[in-house]
Amino acid sequence: MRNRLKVLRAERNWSQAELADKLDVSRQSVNAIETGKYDPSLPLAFKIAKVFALTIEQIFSDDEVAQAAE
Amino acid sequence: MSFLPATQNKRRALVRASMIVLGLVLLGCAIAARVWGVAVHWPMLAVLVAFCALALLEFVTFDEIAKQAHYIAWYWGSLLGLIVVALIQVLFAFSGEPFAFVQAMLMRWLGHADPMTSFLSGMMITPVFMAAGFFIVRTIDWLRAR
Repeated sequence: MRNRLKVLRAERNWSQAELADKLDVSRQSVNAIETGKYDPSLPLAFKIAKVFALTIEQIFSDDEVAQAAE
Repeated sequence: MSFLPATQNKRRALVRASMIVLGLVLLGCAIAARVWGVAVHWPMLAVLVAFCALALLEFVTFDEIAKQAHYIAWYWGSLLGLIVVALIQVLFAFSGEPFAFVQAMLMRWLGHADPMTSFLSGMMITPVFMAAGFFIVRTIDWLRAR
């Protein structure tokens, strides 16, 4: 699974800690999602989408689909 | 509850700080019992119960990723600890000649224990190895995630 979390966070000038507070998760967890070490559950993915006011598909994409698009 | 910090991260930090304080109190009680011979078993039991309650509370404040990390660390770490304990037991129960020198060495270091000490040591050794395994796996995971 790929995600645009780091880019979206940078666009809004949020630190990992700020995003973590908005999502009610730890900073390490934000880092784990950003670096692709952990794929969030659906509830957390929805929460992330809500924080960025986007849809889940605009933030997360399947590896194969992303590769095909490239 | 209004007296608690607003964010989950701050609540987790508060619970963790309280656990550290209680841990230090436990250590202080143990030192007081050893050094001054103070009877501290009831206060220690109370602190231990409070510590366990805080540990439960801490788990509630974990996010899904931290919970996942703990599940993995407990599974692999405690399994590793159990394997080590099982290996030691197998070596001692069925060794005979090949590991007799290890038994002799331990006898020299530890001497013969009375039945109650043996029982309590036996009760303690498995969770100690399981907890050690947990901390090893958790530390490796934490270092990798940094």
